[in-house]
Amino acid sequence: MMGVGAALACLWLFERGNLRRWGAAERVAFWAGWLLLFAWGLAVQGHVPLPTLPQFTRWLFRPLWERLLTVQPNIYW
Amino acid sequence: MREDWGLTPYQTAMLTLALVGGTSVIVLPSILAAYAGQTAWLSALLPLPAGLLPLLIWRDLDRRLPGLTLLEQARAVLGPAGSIPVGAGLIALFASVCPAILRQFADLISAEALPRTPEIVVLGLMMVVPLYGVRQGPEVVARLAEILVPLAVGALVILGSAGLKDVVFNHLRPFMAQGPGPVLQGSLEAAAWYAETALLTLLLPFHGYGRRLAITGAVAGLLIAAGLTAVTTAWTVAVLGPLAGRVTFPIFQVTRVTSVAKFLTHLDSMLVVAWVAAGFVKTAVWFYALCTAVAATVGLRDYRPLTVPLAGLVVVGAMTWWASSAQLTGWVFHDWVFWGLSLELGIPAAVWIGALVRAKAPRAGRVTAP
Repeated sequence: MMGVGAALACLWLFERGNLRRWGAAERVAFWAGWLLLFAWGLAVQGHVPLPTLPQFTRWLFRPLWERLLTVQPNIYW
Repeated sequence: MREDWGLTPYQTAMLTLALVGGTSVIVLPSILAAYAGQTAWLSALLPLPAGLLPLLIWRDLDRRLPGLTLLEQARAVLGPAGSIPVGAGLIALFASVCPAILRQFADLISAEALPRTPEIVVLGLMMVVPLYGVRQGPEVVARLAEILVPLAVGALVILGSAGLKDVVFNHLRPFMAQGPGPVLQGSLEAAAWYAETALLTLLLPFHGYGRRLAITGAVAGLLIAAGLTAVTTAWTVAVLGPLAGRVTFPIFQVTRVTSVAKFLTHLDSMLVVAWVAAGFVKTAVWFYALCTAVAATVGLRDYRPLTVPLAGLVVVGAMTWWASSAQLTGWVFHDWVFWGLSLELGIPAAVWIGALVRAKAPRAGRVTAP
């Protein structure tokens, strides 16, 4: 948590000029983006099993792929 | 956020070439060869209509709602509530493609140049240039494209001509040995790549020389990208033969065995340098699209506050979504074709159909820009 705090302080120092110039919505989006990144990073560090986009696309399209694409690629995985 | 600059036709062509050809030239040949074998080059040419379709849709939409990006057009046609699914779909598309592109180029660097460097370092460094370019604005990305893309294509052509003596034309025969099925299935994979021109619906409204020249530039870039992919695929199959479908980044394997007068060898390193430069452009274009799509969907006037956190999210996604390069290739083989095609063709088509319906509806009146 100290690392996250230090990173947020560095961000504020680095972006304080822009933060003054941006509107309220842009400032909220900036901090929300960073908090999302930190949350995701901590979840990855903690090995929290988050669903991923490739998993979602596989769940969505794999049955269709198995039904429609009948030619198997000639490769070894 | 409106930008006060205009894309030249040449910049449009180079952006399209980087957008489609940046990864199709290095990844598609092995995929097409795995499906269609000796006739893989044909699979690279057949799906060209899939790339032209989003451009034709944009041309008609721009005639009805000139100077607006696809998201702004969706807002004008479908209303604020109707534009949210369009924005969410585009964000899903860009958020899946950006980490995939970054991972492909990082895998290329790791395989060819930096095998012992931790992947997170390579991914982070590969994101710095696109992040800087996008933060400076789309004009910088366009100028980056007009400088770096011709260098990459030139390096490919020069190294290709140096390796002509290794080509075995018999590897390209017989034509359609297993019938049209494998060729068509390979075409489906290439179609998902060519339909990436859908992203241009966010860039072409910034044309500086008229709609006609913007479309001409984009079509020229698409044709060059498809031609390069077809030639590279044929070249790969002709040199590697039946192995072409089983190697990662086959074009670099081909240039690795190429030598000039048995004196200049390992020319793949030159191609890696040139092609990674083009990869920066491709990553930057997709990253710009991601940032603008998120900003427009949540109602921001400027996308720049989102650039640094989104770059971090792209790096984390590229690092954690695929356990290995083979898993990413498997995702491209099996899932990307449907995921990519449905979003790349479906979203512009939905907005276009909405515009047609609004134009024909007697009481809705003419659709105008917001």
